[in-house]
Amino acid sequence: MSLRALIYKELKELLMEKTILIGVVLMPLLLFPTIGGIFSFTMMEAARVGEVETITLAVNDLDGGEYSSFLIDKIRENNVQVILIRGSSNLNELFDKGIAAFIEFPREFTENILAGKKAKIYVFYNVKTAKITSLISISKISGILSRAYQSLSEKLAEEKGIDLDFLSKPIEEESNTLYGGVVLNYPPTIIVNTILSSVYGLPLVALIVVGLTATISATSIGLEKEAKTLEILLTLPISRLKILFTKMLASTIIALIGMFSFGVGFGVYLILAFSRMGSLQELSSRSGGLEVFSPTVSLLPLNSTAVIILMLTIFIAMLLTMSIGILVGVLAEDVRGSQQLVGAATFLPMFPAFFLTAFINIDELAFPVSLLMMLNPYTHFFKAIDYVSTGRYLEAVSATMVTGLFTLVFLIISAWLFSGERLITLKVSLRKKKEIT
Amino acid sequence: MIAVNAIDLWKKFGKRYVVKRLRFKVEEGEIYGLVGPNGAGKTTTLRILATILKPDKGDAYIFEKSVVKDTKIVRKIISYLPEDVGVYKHLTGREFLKINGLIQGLRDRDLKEAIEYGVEISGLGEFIDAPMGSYSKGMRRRIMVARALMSKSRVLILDEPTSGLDVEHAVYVRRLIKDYVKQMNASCIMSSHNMLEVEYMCDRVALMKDGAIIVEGDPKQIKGEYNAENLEEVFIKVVRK
Repeated sequence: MSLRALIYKELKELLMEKTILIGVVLMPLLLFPTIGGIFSFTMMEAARVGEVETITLAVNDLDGGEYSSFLIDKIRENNVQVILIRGSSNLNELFDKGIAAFIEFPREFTENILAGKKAKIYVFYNVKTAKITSLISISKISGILSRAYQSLSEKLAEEKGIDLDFLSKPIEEESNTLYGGVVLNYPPTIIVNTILSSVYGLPLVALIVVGLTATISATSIGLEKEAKTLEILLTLPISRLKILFTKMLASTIIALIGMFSFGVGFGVYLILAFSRMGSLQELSSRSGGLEVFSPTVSLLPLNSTAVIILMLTIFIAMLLTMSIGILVGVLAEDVRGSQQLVGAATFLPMFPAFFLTAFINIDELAFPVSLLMMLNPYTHFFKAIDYVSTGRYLEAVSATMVTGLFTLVFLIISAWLFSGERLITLKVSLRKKKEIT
Repeated sequence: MIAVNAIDLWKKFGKRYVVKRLRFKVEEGEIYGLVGPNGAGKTTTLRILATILKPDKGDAYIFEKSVVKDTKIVRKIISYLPEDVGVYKHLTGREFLKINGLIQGLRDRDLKEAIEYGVEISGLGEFIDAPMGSYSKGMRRRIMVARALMSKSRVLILDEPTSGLDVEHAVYVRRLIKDYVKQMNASCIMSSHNMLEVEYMCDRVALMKDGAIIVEGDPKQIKGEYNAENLEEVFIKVVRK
């Protein structure tokens, strides 16, 4: 009963706290759908503008030969308005009149091609603002020109009786990747990108949410220290370990609520943000231009064992982060002190471990550096994820157990400090101490 | 019967002793006051008695139970009120009293009676069901004193119970404590800067300076010995000696 009463107290105090309610629970639910909605609207508008807008190009054909005329005709075929210019002209004045790009064919253009030399063409794009609509317009012009060049190539090849398609691409490669002992019919870049985004992205985001909850757990102790309510709790007939346990439990519950809220918010964001992506990509590909966005790659199917180990790994990392937060709360003098310390204590080890594990093989590092990394508890967490993603489940469980051991050590230190008078007398702070007068 | 018996208590932080050679006894049914300037060692002494801090040397006994070895039993006997204690701002006064009662092991009828008693002595009326974050400083102190008294503890350890309160709230809290001790035949050890308050409330007082007791006794008797009108005058005379 006393334990339930304490948990109720912890949960009510934490959940009713505006900063926690807004920051952990409501913010992901509101922020992600809002960003997704805005993103979706922007995409829709950009696609609409790209579809409707007629492009006007200014062309100065100094060559006047067969091939420059051929290219101009090909450009015109794409519903482009071409204004032919004679003599020199001021670019700024042209662009002020709404010209999207200015193209100049030099005098020897056709002559060079006939002589088998590369011919030059000068293109000046009009970029008014660095916005998505500008990118689409540039992409469209660039696509039209590329197709006109392709048509010229085909014409030349035909004139000379050459199989252009064969010459430009005499070898067809079918890319496959052996990953985690399984052959996948995708190029390796797609596989690696997918794993980086799906396997590392989610835990990193989860850790950021949990990192915030570590701040909450540290703050909850800091608040009680500052308000001296902790002193009352310590004189009541309940063990200090129970007090510590309820604080851990309440923080874990808040973390799970935060993760759930994050998941829902992020899901809505993905649906809203990527629902309009297709139309934009279609527009981009129709114009044959540059890819404005990389296509989203569907997640690799993970089997149930991998998912269970992954979830266990993330949960242990959550406990680890929480235990660091509790430890900081015990060490710190007050709320400000705990908030300052907790960021340094969690994110400083978390990010080097993430980047080093994701981009290099830690085992190949020089001994002192690899030892240092092994002493960082988050290294084992990210290694475990790495192992899961390559199907090395036993090694993943071992790495998770090491993370669990670190968690246990932090919890034991916290419990030891919590059960002694250091809980009241310790006043670690990043602030400069004021002289007591 | 002796409620509190402090025997040669010493406590240091860093190299500095904040409590030294401390010996005193508090009888059952008695209010005992620790008086002195900031840094005299009053709060540290009370924290030792409340089992929050451990003495470096010596021991103190609450109804013959050691505050060092028998902490679990001692915590069932005492009620501690820290100086300037804050509140859980999202809990209502009633919820706070209930949680406190549950942690103290009260159940069913005992719990209900304790909550009703706490509500009554807090004098907060309908505000008892409002979040404590909305309470004024005086109301916060009242609910905290009510918490300390609700479980009918035999020994009260109160650190500056009326500090920072206006006259109305201070008078209310003083009367509450005095009545409680009288009705329950409980014991109370309290600290205060306010020597006039201590003179009014306490049966015996100890004047502290630099971690040690420099004068102890019945306020009237001490005033007589030093030919002083009040305890403040006594304190000045003793310090000058």
